[in-house]
Amino acid sequence: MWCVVLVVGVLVGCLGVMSNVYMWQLSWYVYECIAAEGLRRRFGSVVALDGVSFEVSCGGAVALLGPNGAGKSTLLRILAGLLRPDAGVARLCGYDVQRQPREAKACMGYLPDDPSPFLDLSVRENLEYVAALRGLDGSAVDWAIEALGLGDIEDRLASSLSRGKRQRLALALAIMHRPRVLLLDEPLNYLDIPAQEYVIKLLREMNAAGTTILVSTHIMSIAERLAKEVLVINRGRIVWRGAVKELKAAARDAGERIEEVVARLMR
Amino acid sequence: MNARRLWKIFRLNFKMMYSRWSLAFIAFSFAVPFVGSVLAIWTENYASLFPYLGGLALLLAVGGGFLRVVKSEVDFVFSTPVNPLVVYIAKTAASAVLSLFLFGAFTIYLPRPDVISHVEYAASLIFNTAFFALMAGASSLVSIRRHILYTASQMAVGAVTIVKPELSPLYGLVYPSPFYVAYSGAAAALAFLATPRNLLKELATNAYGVFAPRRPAGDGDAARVVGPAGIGPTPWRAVWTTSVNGVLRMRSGDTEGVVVKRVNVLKIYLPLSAAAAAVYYVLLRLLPEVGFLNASEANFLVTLLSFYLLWAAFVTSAGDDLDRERLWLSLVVEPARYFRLRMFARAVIATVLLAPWAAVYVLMSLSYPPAARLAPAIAALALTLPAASWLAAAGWPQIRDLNLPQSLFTLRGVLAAFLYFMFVVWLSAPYILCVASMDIPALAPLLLLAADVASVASLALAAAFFYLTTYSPWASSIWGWFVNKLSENGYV
Repeated sequence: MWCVVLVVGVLVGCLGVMSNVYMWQLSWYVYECIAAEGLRRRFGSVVALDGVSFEVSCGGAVALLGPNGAGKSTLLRILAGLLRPDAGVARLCGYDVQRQPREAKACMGYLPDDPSPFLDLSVRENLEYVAALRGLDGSAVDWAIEALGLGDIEDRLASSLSRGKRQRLALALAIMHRPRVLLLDEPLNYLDIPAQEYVIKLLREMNAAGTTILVSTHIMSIAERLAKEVLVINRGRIVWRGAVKELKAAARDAGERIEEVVARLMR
Repeated sequence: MNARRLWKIFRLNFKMMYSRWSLAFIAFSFAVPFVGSVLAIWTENYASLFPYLGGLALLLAVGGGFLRVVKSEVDFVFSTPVNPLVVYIAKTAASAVLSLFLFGAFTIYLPRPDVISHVEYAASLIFNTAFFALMAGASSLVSIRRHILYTASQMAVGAVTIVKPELSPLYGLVYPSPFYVAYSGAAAALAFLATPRNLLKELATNAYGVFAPRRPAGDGDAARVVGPAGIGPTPWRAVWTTSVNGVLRMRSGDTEGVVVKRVNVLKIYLPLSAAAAAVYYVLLRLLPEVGFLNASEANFLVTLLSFYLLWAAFVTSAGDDLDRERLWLSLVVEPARYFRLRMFARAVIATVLLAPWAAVYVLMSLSYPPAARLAPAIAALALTLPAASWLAAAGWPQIRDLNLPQSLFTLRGVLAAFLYFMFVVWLSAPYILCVASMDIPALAPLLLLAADVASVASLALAAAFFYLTTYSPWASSIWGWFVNKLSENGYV
């Protein structure tokens, strides 16, 4: 009799382990790291997002392209849990941003357009503050300072920094916890050319290490270098989605520059 | 969340709120309560501290909105998993340090008979501080109706402390007892209940929705409030129309965004100014003796306090509208000329809004002659603050998305606050000298002469400043510098 009990016990145990492994795998392979389902958002009579749906696989890198007022920043704010959609669901790392905001925000880093760090704190204190909010230790601060090359200005007040250095600090604040998902709104604004190259290299390394990136930009050359896929958004709708190489092929076939192809898609 | 993390959040919020310059300013302001306290101990007239405590409570109520959410928090705090309530409590605790210091500076030296009374005093100090800090924190976030309610409740405590101190929770700071510990504790508990939890919860998932500007319900086309006919055809007409039809931003509900509407500021604020002036006049006529003060002491203190409160309200609102100038700066061909016209328009508006107060001080002088000395001070305010408040705010970065403020206690801000304070003390000097002449008849001719000289000098300097910033050849250089400064901070 005890043999039967033992066999059943072992079987149940195996099933438990398998289901846990399955669930663990599910969280990494089945869930898309970024998912939007039917997102809608109006501001008065202006429709900013009109049923936007898309997903980005974990480890993916997607550029969000669109003209001014297309809804790019609104979309990123909804994904970052900073703006509630009128309808639809946004998920990060499998967590509903509105229903499970703590879990979703723990796995996400967000760089807003025109970011404003804490001007009355030094560079290091800015990072220490966000580290305290996220429950990180000092090593995260040191890593972020090194990653963004902020070592020579770490004791300077943010208010005394140029716009370019403030942008680097803001980027450090967004990535210091090495998030699984990175939402970037015009990340290269205000940066000089060496700093742009430095940041592009850093973001590509993070992406290669598994960070999923969704980057909003006006500049096609940046999209080409940071992303493998492109989402073109216009008047609150996604009007085209495909690989960067598809855009390049379309441009080559038509004898146009890639920007001209994207401009045509946005019309 | 562990204590170390909480301490770090508090410490860095404290650092953001008080730069070393603001601490120097606070240390300077310590002198006033210290002198009051020493005088009270010397004369053993502890009750003489109540008007100071009441006045301080009124000033905290008027200027208590500095716990506002800043743009950096929307960008980098609410995008983290932290509960916004934790940050709110940390900020409130940091802001409480100022009121703790000031209430303590007035009362900590008073002799107390035993250890128990020291404990009761400490408890009263903490609870009263908590009451003002929590109410200021809540009032800076909630809808306009609740904001008025919370500010009024703080002002009521201030007024009661002056008129009938026994009814005030601040009474326990001078005469500690278990009753006043319980009373101030209950007030602090009520203030804690006023914490806008729904709004804080909303910030965790909808911060941009909470602070985003929106049109008022039923206002189909807000842009048509000022029609094209009102804008043209002369530059002065355009500047006057856009100045007098100012942008009003207010939160109608706790979580529904900020209503942005163009309104005629004269229609909104002139009745408010006139009503406040009438209340001052009626209050002093109906209550010739306030609390333990005799009629002349009550006249002196209430009149001076009314002028300081008027100054505080004017100073806190005068620089607020600079962040809406980006559009005009981008459009105007001659920015320096634009600002000269703009300052003239602002001075006219300030004169109209302050006129009821000049009138009421002159009226009051029929029964209390020194009040007339504040009428020239009102004129000096109208001539200087419209330009000075914008020049002082030139270093603030422009925030494009939400129009949320960025930094509150910069060196420039602290210096500006210090200069504003010295300015209002200087403006009230003729009034104080005139009152002194009534108390010291032997020196009356000299004191009255000094009061006349100070009045004339104030008006002359204010007129010179107005000329300098509007008509003089140097005005273009001043506003040229100003435009450059704004450009550096993202306005253009």
